[in-house]
Parts: sequence; C-alpha cells; structure tokens
Amino acid sequence: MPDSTPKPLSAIEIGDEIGPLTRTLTLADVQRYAAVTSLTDERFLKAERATQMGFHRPIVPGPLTATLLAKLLTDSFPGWRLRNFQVSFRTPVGHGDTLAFWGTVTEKGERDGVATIHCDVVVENQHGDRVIVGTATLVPRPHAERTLS
Amino acid sequence: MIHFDPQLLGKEVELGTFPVTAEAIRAFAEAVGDLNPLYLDRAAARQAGYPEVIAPPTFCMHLRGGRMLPEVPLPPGMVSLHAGQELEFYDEILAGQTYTATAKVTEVYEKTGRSGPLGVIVREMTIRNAAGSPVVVLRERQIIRSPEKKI
Repeated sequence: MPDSTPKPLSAIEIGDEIGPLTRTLTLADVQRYAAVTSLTDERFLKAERATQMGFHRPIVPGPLTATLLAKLLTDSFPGWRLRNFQVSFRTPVGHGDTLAFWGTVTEKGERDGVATIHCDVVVENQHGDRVIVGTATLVPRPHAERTLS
Repeated sequence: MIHFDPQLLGKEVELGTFPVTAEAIRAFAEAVGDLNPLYLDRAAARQAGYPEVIAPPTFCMHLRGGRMLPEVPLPPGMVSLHAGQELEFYDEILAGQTYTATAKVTEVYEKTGRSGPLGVIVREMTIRNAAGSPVVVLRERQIIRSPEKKI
C-alpha cells in the first residue's frame, strides 16, 4: 500500500525520478481488465486472432498499460490527483512482456493559484523499447490544497 | 483509405447514462490492482475531501466500454490500433453519482507511417455530472493499417 501522507510541493523537485515500477503483464491481467471494461476484441485474448490482425502474439490493451502508469503517478504523489494525462502507444505490448514504468518531474509551480507539477512518463519493455511515452499534470486533492503548496 | 461522411465530423452522439456504484469502482480497482484507499474506503475518501469513494483515473474506460464510438467503418482487410489517449480531469468520478457521456469524431486523416499508409481517427468523449458540468474529457487516436506487416 502506498504512503498516503500528502507530499508538499516543497518536497518535490524538478528532476525527481518517479518509479520505477516493474510489472509482467499476463493473459490473466488482460482477462480481468477485459471483464470490467466490456472489452471483447479477441486480439487481446487469442493468439490466432491476434495473428490474423497483424500482431505476432496477443497484445495487452494500451489503456491497461496506461492505467498502471496512472497508478504509479497517484501512488508517487499522495495528496495529488491527475489533471491531465497524455500517452502515445508506440509499440504493442505482448502477453508476458516485462515493463518498467517510470517518469521524471519536469516542472513545478503554480497555475491560476493552484500548485501544479508536470511530469514526463515512460513505459519500456524488456528490450528497452519505449512502448508508451507521455506527460502528466497533477494538482492537489481537495483537502490537501491548503497544505501542499 | 477511410470512407467517412464528412458531415458526421463533430456530430455528438449520446453514449448513455451511467450510474456509478462503489461496487463497480471496487471491481475496476481490484481488476487493475490499484488498491488505493480512496477507491475502496469511504472514510479515507472523506478524509481527502470527497463525499464518497472516488474512481481511479482511467475508470472512464469502463464507462466507454470496449468499443470506440462513434464507429467508423474500417476499409475491407484493414485493422485498427489504439495509438494514444489524452485525459483531462476536471473533477473526480464519485460513487453514488450518475453521469452522462457523449462522443464525437473530431478528425479523420491519412498519413504514411513506417509500415505504409495509415488512417487516423480521433474521437473525443465527454463525461458530465448530473449538473451537466464536464468531469472527464477523453481524446483517443485510432490508427487504421494493413495487417500484412506484423508488429
């Protein structure tokens, strides 16, 4: 369970590293995600269908990988919430790929009187390929607004 | 490559009304392994300033369901890929609230990628609360490509 003590802006520096979190995503992970998002596309679940659709093997839905990246951010910055989260899916993730999720704080400050932090985020597979690159902006959660700035 | 009626560009379609329950949030959080107390424990959520448990950021994918809407017919023999997404969060999705969602296609264009010609479809989904205020805006890029070159 992540530390839930709100992290003040003063404790966050430009260049701070986020993560890494390492996860191997399996068919069982995809099945659980598919069940709660009503995802029925068989390229995510069956090898034969994945091959027919132009993939070497069944793939992990991009939004599932992005969900784990979002978790890394909210776990790393207790008391903060995502305001903007942008990701590009650059290379398919196959079942069994081991992914490293990480990021870097690129800016901090105030925008319209609200404390704000900006991050670059990356997900890399076991071959060193960047499967996701993106950015995130975080702002304080309601009760943390007065204490985090 | 993509045959799309340009009059449909920007035309909003209703995706429906979505009551959000604490149970649905818990099911999503457990499925993706995100056991943050804000998603599971009402007391923790209240301590953070929320009236009820909140949903993980990408719970809106649950509201969207498995299909990208509005649907755009794919050219015969072509397949699609999810190329990226941008989420703007104006507020949290709360248990016990009912939300509505609308979606539209905002861009359709073609380009040449590493594997040959590609079609790109950009959609925008807006989730609103009962007062009609936007809570989450989700923009997604879908790429249309030939399945011949395996990736």
